[in-house]
Amino acid sequence: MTEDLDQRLRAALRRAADFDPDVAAARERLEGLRRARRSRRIALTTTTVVALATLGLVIRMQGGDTDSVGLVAGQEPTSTMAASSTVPTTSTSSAEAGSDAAPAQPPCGAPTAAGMERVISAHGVSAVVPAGWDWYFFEGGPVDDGGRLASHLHVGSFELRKTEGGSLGEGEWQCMGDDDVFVALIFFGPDSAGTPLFAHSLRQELDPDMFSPRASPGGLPPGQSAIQAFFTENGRAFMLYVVLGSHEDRHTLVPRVEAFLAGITIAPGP
Amino acid sequence: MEALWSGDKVAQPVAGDDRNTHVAHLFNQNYSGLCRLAYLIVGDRTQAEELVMDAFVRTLSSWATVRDPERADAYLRRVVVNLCRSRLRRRHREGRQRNLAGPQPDTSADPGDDVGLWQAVLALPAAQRCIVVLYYYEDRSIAEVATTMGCADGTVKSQLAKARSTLARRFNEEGDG
Repeated sequence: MTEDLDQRLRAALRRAADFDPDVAAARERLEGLRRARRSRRIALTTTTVVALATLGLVIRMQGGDTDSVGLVAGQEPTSTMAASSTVPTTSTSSAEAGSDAAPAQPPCGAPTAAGMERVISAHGVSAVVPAGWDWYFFEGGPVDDGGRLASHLHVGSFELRKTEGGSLGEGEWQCMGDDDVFVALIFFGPDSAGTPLFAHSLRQELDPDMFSPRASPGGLPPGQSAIQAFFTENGRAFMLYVVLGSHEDRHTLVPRVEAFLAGITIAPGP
Repeated sequence: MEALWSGDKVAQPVAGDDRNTHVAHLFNQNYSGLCRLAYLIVGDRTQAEELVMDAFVRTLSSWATVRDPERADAYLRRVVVNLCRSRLRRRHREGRQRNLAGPQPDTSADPGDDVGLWQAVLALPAAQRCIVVLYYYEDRSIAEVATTMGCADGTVKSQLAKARSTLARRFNEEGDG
């Protein structure tokens, strides 16, 4: 009976799959996608600092206080920023001046704007944010400076709530879907650069099986997993923290993260 | 477990032409087979072709980190299966939210015939469905199925046993009826 069922199953599946996909059309489509990627890469490598600003590189400053923190977000832009400049420490529009509160937090699951791929830059770190992804830069201090919340760049494939809940993005993970990824880049001070803990490079590969559901001190939402890595790039030290919306799908989500990380460039420190 | 990405080894970048040649070869060798595999899992031909294309695009974009291009077909298969599982999960979730569902198995089909048997496979939970298709359709070993699914051999065996039991029950019920 079991053997009979096995044979019937094999026959049934082979019969059901007896069709020929349109390989020629698919090959043409893949080639088109490949050409589009190559054009985009060439365009990016020839983009100048000035062009970055004209491409729509935008920032929004949060808070008028010049001493400690600033939040630069990827949505609702109000001013442009040259790629080589540091983040300004004063508000640039009257609408933002005096607004000390964090931006209104959209509920989880709010649709992410489709938009276009964007090139962002802050404090010498540039990244290509894919279409539909969200980001913000929080300007604090280096981790080892003590006292202040660390400067960090948050990027996610979903709409970020832009909370100031912590440099690892603890306030964001609840909003992630199974297909989402979240990347936090936390800035360390010059004393950390090149030390054994930061000996690795950003270009190191991520092993999907190194992700762990227990990689957060405060715990991750069920089903998620994360990885923490320290690295030095161009004499500057960073911690990379990546959260996957679904640990089960880590083998498909990690390549998305790696594709994003491949587009990050870090200018030498001062 | 097979790992094409590793935390302790850095892949040598592959020159653009090599990458294109490899991917073109991979495409010619695997596209049709992967479409059939995805179709048997998701039960919809358009979605299957879309998922396989997505898998190729992802492979193309992360090719520089593929350590062993000769085993890229195994990686591709894993991506396709994972994408299928994600699609099934999303379909299930959206179906629950909207009280709708995607292509549904025809439970009135006669499990004693080929179409009915495949419909019975489509009614299995996503993981069991993937395992059944990889094992019976692709004739993969337990170890290969485990690698593709990213789980232990024992998990594959137990899930396969459950799937067989479910299918046998339907098969027998029909026989008795």
